[in-house]
Amino acid sequence: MENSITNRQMFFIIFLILTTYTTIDLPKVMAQTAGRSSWIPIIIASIIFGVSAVIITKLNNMFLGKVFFEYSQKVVGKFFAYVIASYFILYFIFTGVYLKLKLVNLLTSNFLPKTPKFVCLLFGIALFAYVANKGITNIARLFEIYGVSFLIVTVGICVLMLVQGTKYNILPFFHTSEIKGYAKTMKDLITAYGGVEVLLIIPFTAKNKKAPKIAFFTLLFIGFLYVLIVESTISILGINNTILLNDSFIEAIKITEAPVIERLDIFYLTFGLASLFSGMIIVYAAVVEFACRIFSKVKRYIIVIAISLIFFILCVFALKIKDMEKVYKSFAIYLILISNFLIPITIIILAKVKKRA
Amino acid sequence: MIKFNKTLLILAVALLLSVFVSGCGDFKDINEKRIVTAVALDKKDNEIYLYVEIANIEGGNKSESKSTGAGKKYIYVKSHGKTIPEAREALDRQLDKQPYLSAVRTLVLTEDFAKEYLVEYLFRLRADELYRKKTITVITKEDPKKLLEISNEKDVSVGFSIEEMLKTLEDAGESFSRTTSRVLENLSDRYTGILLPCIGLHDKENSLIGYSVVNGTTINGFIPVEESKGMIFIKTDKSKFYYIVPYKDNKFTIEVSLKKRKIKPSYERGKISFDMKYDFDAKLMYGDKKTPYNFDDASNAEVTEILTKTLEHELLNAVEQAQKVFDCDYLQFDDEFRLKFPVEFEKMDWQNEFLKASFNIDAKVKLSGTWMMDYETYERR
Repeated sequence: MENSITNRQMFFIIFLILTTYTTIDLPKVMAQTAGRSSWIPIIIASIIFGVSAVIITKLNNMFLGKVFFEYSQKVVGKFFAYVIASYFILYFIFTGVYLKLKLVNLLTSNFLPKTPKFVCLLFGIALFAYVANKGITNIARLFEIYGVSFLIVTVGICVLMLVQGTKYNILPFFHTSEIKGYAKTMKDLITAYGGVEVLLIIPFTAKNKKAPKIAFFTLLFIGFLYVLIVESTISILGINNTILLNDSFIEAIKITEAPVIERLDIFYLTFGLASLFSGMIIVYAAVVEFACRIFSKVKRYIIVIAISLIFFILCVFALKIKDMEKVYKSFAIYLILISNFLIPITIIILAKVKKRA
Repeated sequence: MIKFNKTLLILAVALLLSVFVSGCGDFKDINEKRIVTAVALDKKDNEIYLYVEIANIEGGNKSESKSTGAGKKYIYVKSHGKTIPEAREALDRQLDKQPYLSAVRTLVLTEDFAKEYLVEYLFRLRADELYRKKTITVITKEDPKKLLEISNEKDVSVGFSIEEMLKTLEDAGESFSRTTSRVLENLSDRYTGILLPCIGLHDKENSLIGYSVVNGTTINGFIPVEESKGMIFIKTDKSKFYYIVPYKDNKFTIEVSLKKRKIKPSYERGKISFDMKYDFDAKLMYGDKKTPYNFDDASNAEVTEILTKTLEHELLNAVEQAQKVFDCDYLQFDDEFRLKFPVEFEKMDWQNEFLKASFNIDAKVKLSGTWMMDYETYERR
């Protein structure tokens, strides 16, 4: 199965996996911790994670045609490669369960309030399994279409919100008393920027030579998009309502007027859902790719079915956990830092040392 | 083997489909809900009265014994209870279908109700994710039943007519409206001082009669619409009014629109002051005497001076009314001050500081003729 992607497809993969759920509750989190000055920590975080994206893409470029599991065996040996691959499988399953539950909650609160959650789970898992089975290249092509439409709709709606919003809600842009919240904000932003590590399952080819530069500017672009989303939400709702409402971005869209479209939130979610699905699809694909490498003798579709069952069972259990969001965020910060920084930096240093030796 | 796999696949799909369809068991089409277009609340004799206006999409062939206006495009239903949830439960017991609140255009609260329950009901609205957040909130001094009855007689929706009336006035620059979401943001701030449009009846037509002053969490005043021009110039961006300026033996009607407004706060030695600069564009529409008016530069200058003084007087009155009559900053000077002095603002009690603030008003008027008319050089033949 062909697994290469172009740089443009890489842009959309990073874009969709990062923005997948972040857009909905990012304004609330940012308003709570950094208030109206939240644009500063957002841009700082995008630069930091841009560096991580550069490291990961440079690593892939050092071993063209190979995925992380394959080249890490040459760098750290077979045993540690299996350990790291198992870690990534568990990490992506943990992330996938969280994302799936978030998707189910969003669907039930905005579209299907009376539908049992397990039905949404079942439907979603079946869909994502089918798409993940198709391979990375097909997923990347799908993301190009999703990504373009989602980007245009999101930016368009944010611009509308800024035009209709109140400047008094977002000003002043900088307030000294909000500086003390920046540290907590940076911590909250870790989960918003987690996702670049999926590039580890994608083999790079000669056409991805410029990938590090593009990856860095992609992260910077996403940072500016986050700023746009946060500021537009606050301009419509005000800082207090933004903090109070959980899905503040959707609530702000509900109030925004648009020509012809009465329910702008439904319009946004029609495209937004596509991006929400993208996040789940790529996480699913990441688990499948790692699992296929580890269990190379098992047929791909059997692995996909097994992973679907695992996801379903874990999601049903997780539904009973009272505050899944808190549980996820308490672990995710460390897992994302390990997956984005510790492991790639360690592997690239060892690879460079081995190359010189 | 292939046939067995195909059979297995068909069975799996059939099983999955049946499970998916189980999720649709309680699906309700919009036709099976009561679409609410207006909600009105009143407080009388220690009881809360809840009125809902419902779009009669069935054409009135089903009668609701407790509703009125069957056969009309809109019907209304009334219920009451000791508390807001009780009144709502009483309403639910009367309706044959679930109410659909995502289409509510206007929320009408009587003064008596708003004095006690404004915050409670708006927070209730905010907490209900299915309640339309773009709903306009208005106050009324009338009995909501009367408003609904009159609209019902004419077969129009109270919700739509009030919303459209306010929107038309806002587009014309004569008023403003605030969505409930915006009101909620104000209520969530440390300092709350807002105005809500007040609706009444004028010859059996819904009409904007003034603005209710909300100070903190309750209503404590009313500004009639005739006394609100200065306030509108301070609050809205594209305001436009007509003034009649007597000059010599003529009474000129002049269209005055606000072109630019600049409010500059300052804070020196603990004293707050605001420099307000207004630029108005004025157009001489017509007089009440026969032409020619010989409206030369000298006349222009004199009429401009009269108009400028009138406008400055109105603006100052509007500010003094807020400071001295209602003790409430519903003109949102707190926002202007907070932008410039955020640190100082956090430490102060704006309720008291606003009352001591001083205001310097400087209005500039640029008077010209309309594009159509030439009152300067016209001579009768």
